[in-house]
Parts: sequence; structure tokens; C-alpha cells
Amino acid sequence: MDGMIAMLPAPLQKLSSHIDFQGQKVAERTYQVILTIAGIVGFFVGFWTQQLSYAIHIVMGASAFTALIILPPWPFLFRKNPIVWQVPTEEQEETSSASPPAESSAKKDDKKKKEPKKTK
Amino acid sequence: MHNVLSRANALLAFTLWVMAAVTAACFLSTVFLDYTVPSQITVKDIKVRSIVDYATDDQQADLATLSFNLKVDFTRIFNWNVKQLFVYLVAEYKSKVNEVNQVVLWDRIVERGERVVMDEIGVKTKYYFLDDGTNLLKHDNVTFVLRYNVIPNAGYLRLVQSTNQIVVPFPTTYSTTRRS
Repeated sequence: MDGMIAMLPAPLQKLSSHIDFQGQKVAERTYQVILTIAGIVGFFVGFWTQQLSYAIHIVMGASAFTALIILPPWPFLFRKNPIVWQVPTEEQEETSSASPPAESSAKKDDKKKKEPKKTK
Repeated sequence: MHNVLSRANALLAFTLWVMAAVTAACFLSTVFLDYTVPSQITVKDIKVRSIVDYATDDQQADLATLSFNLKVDFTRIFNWNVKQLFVYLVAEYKSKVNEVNQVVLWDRIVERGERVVMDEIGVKTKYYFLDDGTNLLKHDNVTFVLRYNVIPNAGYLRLVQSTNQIVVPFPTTYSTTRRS
């Protein structure tokens, strides 16, 4: 699947389809409720009309409808509760940047080293 | 459920679950129904010929030809779990060697939505009514019965026998005249 995604054009790959944790819960409950109701309705429609194809078409139609609701990451449905990450403290940053000293982090370290000198 | 592919996967899986449940419910709603219908069979123009048959020891076999009328209404059978019927006419008789001989003489597939009421007159048999010996001549109890398989959308292949059957005595002399 990842290989197929890698074949997509670059602008498409950048599209984010992620939804937050609360959104995942809501989405799962949404398709469960809609499809179960559609299955029950479809059974009775098929029983009254004596056509099994009507029942199956109702379930498939409900599935397509549910796909419209839950597949796109609608911001007003599934992105209302974004995760608030904690702001990293300075100590953690020093320990993490200690092992691989990249250029950018090295500059930050210099600044940090200079700052406490000023306070002293 | 975090990205679009896993959501599509979950949705497809649950859709298939629901469809399987609806299909199983359809099967359960029809499994105890009665599928037997009455039929009217009349057999006429029975002729028995003696033919040479090198496959049997006595090298003589009885070949019967006949035509029949069939009147049967399958409308009641076709509920929402029936795709088609496989209808066939069976001749059953007892011989010295075999307790039960069953010969299929004619069959037809009856599909849903097509001609499900049959009123056939003067139908010739589709398959040979060939005995493996010389038991058909003077046989006084050849039973003709209509059977059909019910091919469902979901469930098992049901075999039903129509309620009516007829018993026909066979001719006492061989027919030698050629049919025009």
C-alpha cells in the first residue's frame, strides 16, 4: 500500500487524511449505527418486496453514503479535539541533542550556553 | 481509523458483515417454508421397442417412447430466496435386478421472473427411456413423478417432489412400426 501511495503525485501525497482520537471514535460509531440500521431496513424492504437485491442495494447505498461521511477528514466532525502536545522543556532538548550534534542544534546550544552566562 | 485507508478498510469490512447478516436472515426467513406444489401429469402414446444393446449380457433392451402433458404452477415457490428451479420428470419402476430404477426423461430450468406457470401439451421426452434389460414390456407399475431442485440465493440446494404422481401400465406388445 505504501508503494502505491508513493506512486501518487506529490501534491496528493501531502494531503493529510488524519483525524484525531475523538474523531476516530465518532467515525467508528457513525458507520456502525448507519450500516446496522440500513441492514435492518434492507431486510424488511427485501422481505416485503420479496427481492433480495433490494436489500443488498440498500446496504451498498448506505455504505457509499457512510463513506462520504467518514472517509474525508471533515474538520467540523473529526478534527474538533486536536491533541495538545506539551511544550518541550529546555533540559529535555539538551539531552536529546547531545548525541547527534547537527548544525542547527549546535547553534541553539551555543545560544543556550551564552544565555546563562548573561544571567550569571 | 487514523487515516483514510484504514477507515475505508473498516467500512468495507463492516459492510460485508452487514450484507452477510442480511443474507443469513433471508435464508432463515425462508428455510421452514413449504415448497411443494401440486402438478398434473398425463402420459400418453407409450410405445416399447426392443432394441439391440451390446452393452448388456442378453443384448436386448427395452426402449420406451412417450409424450406427456404437464400442468404445474410454480408461482407460489418463488420467494426472495429462490433464484431458479431445475424441474425434471422421473420415471420410477421396479425390476427383478434392481429394487428402484429411476430414469430422468425431461428437464427444464425455470428462472425467476420468466414463465413460471407451465401448461405443456404433448411434450416429447428429452432423454432416452432405456431399460438395462427387458423389464419395461408388460410392466404394470411405472410411476411418473415431477421433482425439482430449488436453487436459492442463500442456503442449501433443496430437492422437492411434487405432490401428485401417476402410475401407468406399459404396453404388452412391442411396437414395430416406424414413426413417421
